[in-house]
Amino acid sequence: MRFRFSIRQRIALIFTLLVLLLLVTGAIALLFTQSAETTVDDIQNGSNDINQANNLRVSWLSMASTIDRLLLTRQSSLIDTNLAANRSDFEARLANIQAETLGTSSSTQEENTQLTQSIGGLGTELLSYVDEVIARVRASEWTRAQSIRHTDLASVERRFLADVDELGSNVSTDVTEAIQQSTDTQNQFRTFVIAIAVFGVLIALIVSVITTLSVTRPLANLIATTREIQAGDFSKRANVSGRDELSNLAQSFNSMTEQLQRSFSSLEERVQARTRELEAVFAVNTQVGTILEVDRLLQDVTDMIKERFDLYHAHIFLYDPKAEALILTAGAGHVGRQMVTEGRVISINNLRSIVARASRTRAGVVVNNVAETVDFLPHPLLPNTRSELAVPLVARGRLLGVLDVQSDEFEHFSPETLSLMEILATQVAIALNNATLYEVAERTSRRERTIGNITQKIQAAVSIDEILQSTIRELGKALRVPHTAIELRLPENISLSEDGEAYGMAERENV
Amino acid sequence: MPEFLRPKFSKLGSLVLILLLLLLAITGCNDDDKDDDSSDSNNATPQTFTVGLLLSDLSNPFFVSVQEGAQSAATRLGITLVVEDAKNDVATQITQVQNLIAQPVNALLINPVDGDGIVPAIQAANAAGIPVFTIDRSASGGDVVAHIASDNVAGGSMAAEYLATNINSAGNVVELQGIEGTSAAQDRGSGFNDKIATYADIDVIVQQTANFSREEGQAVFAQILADNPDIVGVFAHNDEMILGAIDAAKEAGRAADIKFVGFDGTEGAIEAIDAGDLLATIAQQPAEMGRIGVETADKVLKGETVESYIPVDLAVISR
Repeated sequence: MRFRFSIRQRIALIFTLLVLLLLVTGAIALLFTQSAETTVDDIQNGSNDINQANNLRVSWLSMASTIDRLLLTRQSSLIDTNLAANRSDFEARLANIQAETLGTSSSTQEENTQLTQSIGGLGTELLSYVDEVIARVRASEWTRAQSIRHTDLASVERRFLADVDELGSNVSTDVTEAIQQSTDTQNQFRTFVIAIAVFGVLIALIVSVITTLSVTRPLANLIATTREIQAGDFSKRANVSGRDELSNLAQSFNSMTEQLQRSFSSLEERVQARTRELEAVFAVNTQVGTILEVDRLLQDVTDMIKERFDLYHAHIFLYDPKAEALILTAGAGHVGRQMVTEGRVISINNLRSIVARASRTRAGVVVNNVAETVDFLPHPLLPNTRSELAVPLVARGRLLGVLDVQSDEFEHFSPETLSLMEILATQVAIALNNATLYEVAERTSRRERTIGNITQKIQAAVSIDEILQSTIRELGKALRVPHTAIELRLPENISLSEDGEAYGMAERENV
Repeated sequence: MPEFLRPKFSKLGSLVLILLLLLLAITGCNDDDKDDDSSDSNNATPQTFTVGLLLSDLSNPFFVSVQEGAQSAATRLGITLVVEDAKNDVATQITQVQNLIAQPVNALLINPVDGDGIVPAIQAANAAGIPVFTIDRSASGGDVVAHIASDNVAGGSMAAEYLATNINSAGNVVELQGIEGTSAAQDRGSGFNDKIATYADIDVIVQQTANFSREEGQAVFAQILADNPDIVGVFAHNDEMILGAIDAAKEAGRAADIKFVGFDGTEGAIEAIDAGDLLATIAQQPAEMGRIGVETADKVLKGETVESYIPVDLAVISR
């Protein structure tokens, strides 16, 4: 049984139930008392009525016995003494019984009224026969008197006594019924009281057990859940059943746990992501430091960034200060290479380019929804770009280019990612700078070694021809050209040693 | 809304139901009483019955008294009483019974002229489903619901005892019997003889029928007086015969020596007692017989059961 009532309603319900039970018991007790009172009245009235009927009967019988004695002993003096007393007593009782309504229930009252009327009539008839007997006795007609006594008077007497008996039995039946009814009511009352007591105890037991369970069970459940969550299992939830205060508590608890779980897991995710990013930065840095060739460096950087940061795309533009343009130099993966081959160039003044903006402002630019910004320059090979991040590659205060990364998710780049990318960009810029410097230095040293060689060869020559021959041969080797020639003119100021380099440069340019 | 309200209502509903049941159980007992009362009053529906009263002989004052008593009871109970006089003829009485069956009547009170002869008529009434009661004299067959009569055996016994006391329990006694075959004659005779046999010194010297008739009683007893010089007491099965016997004794001049005891308590007998001629008579209550007959028929018609023999009290009327 699942409770839909709140705990407060439940308690109120129990109290209402108990009060109702008390009221019912009280009402029954009141009914019982009333019925007992009525029964006592009925019994009193009934015994009074029985007395009246008996008295009338006794009164008549004593009169009849006086008459019989009179007829037997033939003492006519009895007429004026005993018989007169009997007669007045009988008349009084007859009047009494007629004056009163006997019986309790209306039906028996009606019947009894008829009976008392009949008794009254028969009583009068009896008295008239008694008078006749007396008259015969006074006339000394003893035999006639006997005859009347034994025939007419006996007949009326029989009916009279039958009616009186019936009246008595009616009344006593009433009394018996009243007593029976009272006993029945008493038994019923007892049964009801016992039933109500049992019922009340049962209800109280059941309701208290149910109520207690309905409170303690969810509480125990809640406590168990709390312990589990305390132990670190955020996935646990308390059972929510019903609509009471405890279920509200469980609901709040669950939503609280959910929030806790969500923030906890997002924190974890963020830490993991950050760690991963830092690892990526570290890996890229390590890689970047070892590569001295610019093209390979940039290619590797873009590939690694794309792979390590799990991005949609990454590419690097290099800045050409003369053209004031950004030239796509390296791009991750196949798409990046294809785009490089296409020779993508973005003017630094292009207002629709995030890359251009980053280079102009020399600060990182994050666009977490490319559809909502005017800066975005879409590319057909990158149709899924949703977020874009561009950071300038700046070394020694000089803009070298721009690192541009793209994601196919909205809201992908956080400020943390931006700062990481800026760190990465700084490293890349430094590496780029270093690589460029190294390349320049190596080229310079190689040229100087070649010049030194040529100079040695020239110094070792003994004739002008040999000098020229060596010069041409060595220059051709150094410059890796198939054909080398020296043209000698005779202008006004000849200074070969001074302009030799200039010639060489001119030669090479001619090739 | 309704989904979570539903269980709430059902719970409240069950609570209300329990309380209602309790209240119903409490008030239940009162309803029972009312039912009992109504069923009682239903039984008392008034009905009018017609009852036939067939008397053997209305020239006999005894049966006139029976008729009067029956009529007064019938008037009191609201019963229509049809009275027929058979004038001591069995054939007439059988015809009268058949007529009343055809009329029809609800019950028949028959005072048979002849206990044997009336049997076919009673059987006819039985076949018609009409209850039959016999008054004063019984029938020897047929299905009779109740027989209403004086306790003639006891009456005979009373007569024997009273006579024996007044003749000092010794001497010769004569019994004048009623019509042979009538229950009255048989019962009174047996009651008298059984009792008188207990007195060793009393001899019943003559037992002869005088057919309940005063003239026959006179003639029969005159002959007995002539045959028997020493008679101290006479018991006759009815007052008519004893009055005839008194007449005979007076004629023979022996009335003072003989004690006479009659049966019935008729006017003539009472006058004879007052005159000092008759010692005593056993008073029957013919009017009471008529009354009780009608009352008994009424009870049976209303579905009550009655005893098959209803005795009517007797009393010794003496000087």
